[in-house]
Amino acid sequence: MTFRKRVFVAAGYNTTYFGPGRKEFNPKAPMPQLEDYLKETAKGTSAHCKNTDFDEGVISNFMAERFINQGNLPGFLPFMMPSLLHKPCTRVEGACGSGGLGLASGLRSVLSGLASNVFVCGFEIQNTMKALMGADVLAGAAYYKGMRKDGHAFFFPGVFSDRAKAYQDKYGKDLARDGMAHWYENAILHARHYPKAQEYTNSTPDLLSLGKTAPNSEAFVPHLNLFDCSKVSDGASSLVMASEDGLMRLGIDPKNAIEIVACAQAEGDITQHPSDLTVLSQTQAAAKAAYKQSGLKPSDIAVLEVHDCFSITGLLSLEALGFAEAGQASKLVASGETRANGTIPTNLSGGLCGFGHPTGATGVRQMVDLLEQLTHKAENQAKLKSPYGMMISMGGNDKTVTCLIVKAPHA
Amino acid sequence: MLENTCVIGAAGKMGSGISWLVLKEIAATKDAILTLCDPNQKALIALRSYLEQQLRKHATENIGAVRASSKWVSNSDVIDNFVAEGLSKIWLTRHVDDCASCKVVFEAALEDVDFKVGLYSKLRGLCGSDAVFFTNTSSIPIHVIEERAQLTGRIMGFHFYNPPAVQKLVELIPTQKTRPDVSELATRIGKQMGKVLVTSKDVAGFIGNGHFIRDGLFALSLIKELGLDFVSSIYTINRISQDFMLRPMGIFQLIDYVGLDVFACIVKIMREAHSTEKFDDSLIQQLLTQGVRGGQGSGGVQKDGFFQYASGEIAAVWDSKRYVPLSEGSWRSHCDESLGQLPQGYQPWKKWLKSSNREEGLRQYFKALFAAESKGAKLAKSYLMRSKDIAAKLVHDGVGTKEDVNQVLQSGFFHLYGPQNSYY
Repeated sequence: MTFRKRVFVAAGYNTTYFGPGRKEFNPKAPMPQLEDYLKETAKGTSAHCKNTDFDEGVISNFMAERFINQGNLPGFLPFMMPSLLHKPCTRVEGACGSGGLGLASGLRSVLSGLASNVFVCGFEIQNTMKALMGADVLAGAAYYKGMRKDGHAFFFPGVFSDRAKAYQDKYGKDLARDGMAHWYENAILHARHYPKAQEYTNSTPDLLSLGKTAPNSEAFVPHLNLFDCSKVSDGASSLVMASEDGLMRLGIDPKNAIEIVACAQAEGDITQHPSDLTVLSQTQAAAKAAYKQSGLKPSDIAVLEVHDCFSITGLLSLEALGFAEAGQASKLVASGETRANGTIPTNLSGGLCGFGHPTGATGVRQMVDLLEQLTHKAENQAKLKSPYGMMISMGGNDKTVTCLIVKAPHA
Repeated sequence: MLENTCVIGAAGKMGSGISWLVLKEIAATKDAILTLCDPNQKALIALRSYLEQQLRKHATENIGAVRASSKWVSNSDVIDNFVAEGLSKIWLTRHVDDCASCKVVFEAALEDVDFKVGLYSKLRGLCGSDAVFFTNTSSIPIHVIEERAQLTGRIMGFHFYNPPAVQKLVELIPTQKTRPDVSELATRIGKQMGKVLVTSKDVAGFIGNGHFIRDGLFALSLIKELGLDFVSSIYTINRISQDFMLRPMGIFQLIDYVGLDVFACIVKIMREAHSTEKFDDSLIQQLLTQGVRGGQGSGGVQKDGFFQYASGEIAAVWDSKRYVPLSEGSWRSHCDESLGQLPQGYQPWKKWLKSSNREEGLRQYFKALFAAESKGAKLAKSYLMRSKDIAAKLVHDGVGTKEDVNQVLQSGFFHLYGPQNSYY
């Protein structure tokens, strides 16, 4: 299936993803505010455009209402981009998958003809509360009424700890831990290329040993250690989604844009627990639909962005997307094949574990990273075997999933 | 066990810690009540605030367990509710009469025999015949209070170390007439609180102060022996006891920590009880008349005593009229040169705590120390042997076993090694 018109992504920008791990982070000192992040990312995207006459704006965010008592987020789009005053502006939310939904929303607007270009951004400010309190807010990505009470104090680490246990039980504890430790190692090694990454200054000499730290159920969750977890982050990302005409109006050279060749969404029933904890079924379904739309298969993909909210999620994503057989993701990662010069370079700016995870921004950040990779402007540039990149944006425990495949210019 | 408890002197330094320890045990107990009695109303208000903070900290650090027993869903509601429930258990009062119905009484009031006897005599009349009494005295022989307040069998020493909430060590001091059930209750309470329990014979000073006071007086006696000026003597002896003897702090810094007035008070009690032994604290008395007191300020800030402190670190030494900065002139470097090099194998106390091969390391260190000829090594040897003698005396007098004495000094005073050891 091809889209009725060609839709491109360009002008991507990520702010620093800020929080614990950054050298300058001090929970007791003033931090950059919402307005700072929004203005910066808008300015960053604008810098890639000769003019910024946008038809529409989309803002992705998970829980600004609780983290910073701020709702009615569409109102910030004209604040970011004055050309959006009196224009259609929409906020989308799908937990940590909000960014992917934002991209899908922008795509639909361009495909429908309602807009020739859309300013798409995502943000989250989470460091307004201690992690233990933030855990309750983030638990809203699951079925709060039905699942919070019995969940771990830190909730989502507990949810994915259960997945890690299931994976260990099925494929072997050592194999699973080895894969997760290598995932962590890669996340930090990749982040070290990116000054804006939350783990940029992590200079731990032996990352693998740290990644192999035995989980401690008294201090945290039974089957994950702290290094298996993505960060609590503040940050914003933005980009332009446009038709050919839309790109021209913004003065963006098409050779600096990538084309969307597939966009598939899959939604799970939030009130239900996964039937198989070792499988990300919605991710699998979304990927299957995206492959079908594009006529591509895993071996066609040159660079990948997966939603590694936890290291185990990264491993499961590789399997759900078909890059490894069930139970084999650990070996794939341990073998180095997901590094920049491997067969499936993955999360090359560090992913959620290394770059950071401001929940509403992450999906947009992933697309910005693919844009940089496929236009050969990335700091940790992959050796691209094909012109195709793929991303998975996930909300909750594999509930709200968007899968996009993009193509490099002139391919 | 602790469902109807009171703490007398609750708002003091020790009392507030004891109050927290008891509250922690009963915070989730239905119908429990903790009566907190102190004459200082302002301090009682501060105590409530302190307990609220501790409840919140405890719930946060133990969120898993607190969640499991809570009907609330979100962490913030679980914690808020835990705090509210805990606070609902406390009753703050300035009046001892309000302790009448209590079954277990912890007392951490003035370290004065007559005061305590008066208090306990009153409590005997107020409380039921089934009430038991635990006194936090660090030095007053319990049997003196027991006899004079006519609480035969119902009182024993329950001596927490400072600060009670953090320090693991508790000395239990039964009298010869303490009922077995009272002793048993004390042990159960101590274990429930997660304390390391050491039983001491009911002799003035018990084990801890029995060693500390004698150790401190020995240090004071060295001042004259050294033949140095006062400032250099204090500095030198403090360095010996901290660096050469590998202690967490030097002896005069420790006396500052405890407070010169408290030290003097304990000396007085021990002097009266051990009439054949000499307890010469004339220098301490002299310093007290000069207004030098040491001790802890609010929030645990160290007050100036033998030393003046800046951000918790020693900055100057008292010289009967003023504090002489360590950086002034060259007296300090002369003292250090005179002491000589630290023996081979030395590392600061803190580093020893993390050492994986501590026992062997200490053996080698003391071998080097005892072989060294420097002034510092010789002074340290003499001090170490004196410490060993003090410990031997405590064992000989039946105050505690060799293991108990070592345990008290290691757990209560954070010494790396007990005085009765095979290193020297």
